[in-house]
Amino acid sequence: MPRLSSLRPVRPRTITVLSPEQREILEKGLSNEENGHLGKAASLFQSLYEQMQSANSEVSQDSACMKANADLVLARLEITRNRDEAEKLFRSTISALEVALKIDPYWADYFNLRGKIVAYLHTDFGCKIVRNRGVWEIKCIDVSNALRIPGISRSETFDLECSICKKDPMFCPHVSGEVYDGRLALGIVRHLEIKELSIITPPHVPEERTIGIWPRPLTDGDIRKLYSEKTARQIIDSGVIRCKDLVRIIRKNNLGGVEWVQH
Amino acid sequence: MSVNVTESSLDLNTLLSKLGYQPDQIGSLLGADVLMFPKDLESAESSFDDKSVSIKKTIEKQLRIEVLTKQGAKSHYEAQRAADILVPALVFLGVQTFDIGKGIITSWVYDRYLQLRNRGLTPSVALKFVVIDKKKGIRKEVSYEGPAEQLQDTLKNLKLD
Repeated sequence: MPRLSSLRPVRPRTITVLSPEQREILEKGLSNEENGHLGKAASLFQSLYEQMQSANSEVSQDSACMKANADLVLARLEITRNRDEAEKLFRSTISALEVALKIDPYWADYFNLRGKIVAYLHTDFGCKIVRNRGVWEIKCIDVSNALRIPGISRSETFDLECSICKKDPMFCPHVSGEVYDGRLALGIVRHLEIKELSIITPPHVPEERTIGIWPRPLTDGDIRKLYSEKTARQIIDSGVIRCKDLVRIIRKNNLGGVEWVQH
Repeated sequence: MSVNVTESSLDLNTLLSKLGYQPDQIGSLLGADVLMFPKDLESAESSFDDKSVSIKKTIEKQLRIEVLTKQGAKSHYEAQRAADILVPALVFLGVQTFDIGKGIITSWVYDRYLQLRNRGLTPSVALKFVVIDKKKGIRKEVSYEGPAEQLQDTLKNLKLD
């Protein structure tokens, strides 16, 4: 799990075409962040974001990375004060990074920071399971795993394309996971064909636990069975439960089995 | 299970011709340290396990490896998402090369083993190598199928000459 302290601002992909004044703002922002002056750092990143937006199209398209920096440092500032606000800011950081990644989807700094924030949010906050018309749709594989719902194993064929040179990675010089001139080398799957899907039941375990079968939607009745009357009422009234809280109660009560799978 | 070593009847020239390589290409390929074969030599197209890329990149840091494909046909990848480690079929051209290669392979397998073990799995490993050393007159097939964590010790003490 990434630590909060590992969620650090990025340098813009277009740093080489920024003006000396803009680079100075960037360095000041990074220095303030490093010294824990997060509010000041956020103002500087926000100011640079606005300046970059009105620059030429290349810099303007990359400006979202500074918006990401501003939201990220504010999220870190808010985390001990207002977790809801911090979560909103982290999600806004992800959105800004996605905008910045549209131009170059494998820019390593943006790609890695987005991945770290997603992982951090999932483990520290947990994904939101929202009540909709009396049912709670669960789209979290951690809940499936906690309920010991059988996993899926698949057999598939596909082509691979190197994210750097677009060639078959078997015959190119780039190594997956390494960074080349700021870009992350990855094998991109193309022309995927699933040949076979198998349901894997214990004691067999599929290689990947990141894909699987969702649990059936929970009802308010399930929530009442899982929690005390008072807690259940609070959860139902709020309309939101976090995956990690659900996983905790599942493990505590040693729940699991076919009754948790949609038939 | 322990490692199994038998005499090999693999005829490289015939095999490479079957894949569509011309005699001059075959001469160049046989100058490599290691040859990686596609999964099914009889198939019209070449297919590789998706982990083959990673093992090839690991080997080529120390040895010259050539990946063989059906000439003039497409190649693609296959993934079997089972909790086992499959090492692609490799031919080592020289006993010394095999001694270096087996260290590289066991380290690669151990890394995969640790990744899978951290997810609560106890993977098995299946591999088959052919070692051809013309100077020493050695032509052996080495195969192993068993617990991944025992591969390192098993191969470490294996001597072919």
